[in-house]
Amino acid sequence: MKTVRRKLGLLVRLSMTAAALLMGQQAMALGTDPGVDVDNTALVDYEVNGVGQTQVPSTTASFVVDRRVDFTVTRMGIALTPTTLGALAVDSPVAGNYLDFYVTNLSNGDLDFNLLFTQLASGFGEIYPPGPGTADTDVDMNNVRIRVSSAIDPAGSPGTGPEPLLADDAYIDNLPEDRSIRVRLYADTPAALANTDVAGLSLDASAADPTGTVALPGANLLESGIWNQGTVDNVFADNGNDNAESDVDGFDVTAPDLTVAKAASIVAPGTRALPGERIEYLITIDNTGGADAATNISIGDLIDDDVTFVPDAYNGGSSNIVFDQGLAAESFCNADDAGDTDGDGCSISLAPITLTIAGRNAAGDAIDVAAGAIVTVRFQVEIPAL
Amino acid sequence: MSAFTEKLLARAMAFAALFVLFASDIALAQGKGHLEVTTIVQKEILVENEDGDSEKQLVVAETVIPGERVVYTIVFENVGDAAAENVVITNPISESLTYVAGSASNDSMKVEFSVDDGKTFGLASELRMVDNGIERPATTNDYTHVRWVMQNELEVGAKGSASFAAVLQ
Repeated sequence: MKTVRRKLGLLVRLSMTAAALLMGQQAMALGTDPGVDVDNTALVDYEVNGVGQTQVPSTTASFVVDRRVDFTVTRMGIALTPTTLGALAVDSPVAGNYLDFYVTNLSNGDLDFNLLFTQLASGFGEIYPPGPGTADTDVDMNNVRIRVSSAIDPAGSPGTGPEPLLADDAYIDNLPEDRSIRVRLYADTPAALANTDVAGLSLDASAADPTGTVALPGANLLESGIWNQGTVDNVFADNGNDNAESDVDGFDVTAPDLTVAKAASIVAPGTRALPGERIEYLITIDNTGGADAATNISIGDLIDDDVTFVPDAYNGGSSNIVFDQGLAAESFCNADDAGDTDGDGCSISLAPITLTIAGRNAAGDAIDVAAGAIVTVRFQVEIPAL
Repeated sequence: MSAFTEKLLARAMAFAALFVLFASDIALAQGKGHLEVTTIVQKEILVENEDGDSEKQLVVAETVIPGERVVYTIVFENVGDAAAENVVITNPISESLTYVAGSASNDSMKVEFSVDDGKTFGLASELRMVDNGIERPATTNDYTHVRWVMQNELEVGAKGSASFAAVLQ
């Protein structure tokens, strides 16, 4: 560190305006501010015939410090963000359905930033290898909104500032050098997507003129291409020298993924499917999807005309279809009417015999299959006697 | 043109010439002395040469951003009519700049530095700083001034130059 005394000496040694001097002093450790005028004048002492002569100043060589435009966009996630079908972005009381980033200003002065997002196309590559996120089935989110935190991050701790809320601004205003600010992409999830779909998004930032109005950022900074020693030029020092930085993150869609299997077994005491014997069908519904339950399940089953539906197989002869949801008690319903007149969710139509099984549990609720759960449905048919 | 007008014009021109001479005398006495000194600033960049090696090159300092290196060159000439003795060129180093070690070396001049705003000077190896009561060798970051002490006289009409490099903070 330079001493205080040296900084006082600066007043004499540098020709710059008082305002520029103050700005330069604040930012000295982090890079001289754009616009600071750096002058250099040499002084020459000499003697002629042993007599000291008047000190001669040189001409002054000057340059104005230019704006080094450098910044980064960094995602805060460490894995794809799970989302469920139809989920909406919320910030209160419980935040959800968003991707977090922060933008860091590595320039030598304040910068504004214009922010955009891009819905990534299929095959944009793995976001988080290994695992889901290869994005072969990339989908788009709805209603994507960019929101910027109300305050910059504490120095040296990027990503720890206040959470960006839905009411916050969509651009960055006057981000000081070497500081960062959080940016969030809020999005709503479409109602119809498949399990393990990935919705990849990129946050794209471009530095803008920080001297513009407070209410809005200025236009993106440009490199003039006509450099000038005496004025502030923009020198793009970001990756690619193009005043464009971005990072990607994504949502991992978890939707119910049902597999249905049907098996038949001969009801004791018989061991072979002979006329007069009964066969029990077992339908297994397995939800191998993510976090979501499959609700209001309805099963249609066409029964072979050669068999007859057994009307009183379960529940002490009062029900003909049984559900096992893994609960303590099984649920029953009766497919004994054509239009489900008893309102238990199950009905039967004849010629051909078709079962509609959309049963209710004991509480009268529809049968749901939670994520990772299995629900089984059983009913019996009889092989008519010859 | 009448003879009278011609005479008047000649007088006026003589007066004007006299005035010009007088004015330049004032300038010489007040500002220039017997030495003329100019300073230029250039930017030092690394460019790849044909062999693929990087090579230093000086270019016009059109754009300078923190971290870049500038080179100041001070050119001095004895435009007087007597030899200049004990020529000392003192150059303050801007607070925004950090001197690049070794860059001021000069064959015909002794190079010294100051770490106390030009009050005292010494060789790079001799300078000390005191931080919180603890003495330590000075670093290039501490330098406030660089100066060149000419070992020989600067003869009439002779030219010399000195330069140093610095990094913009």
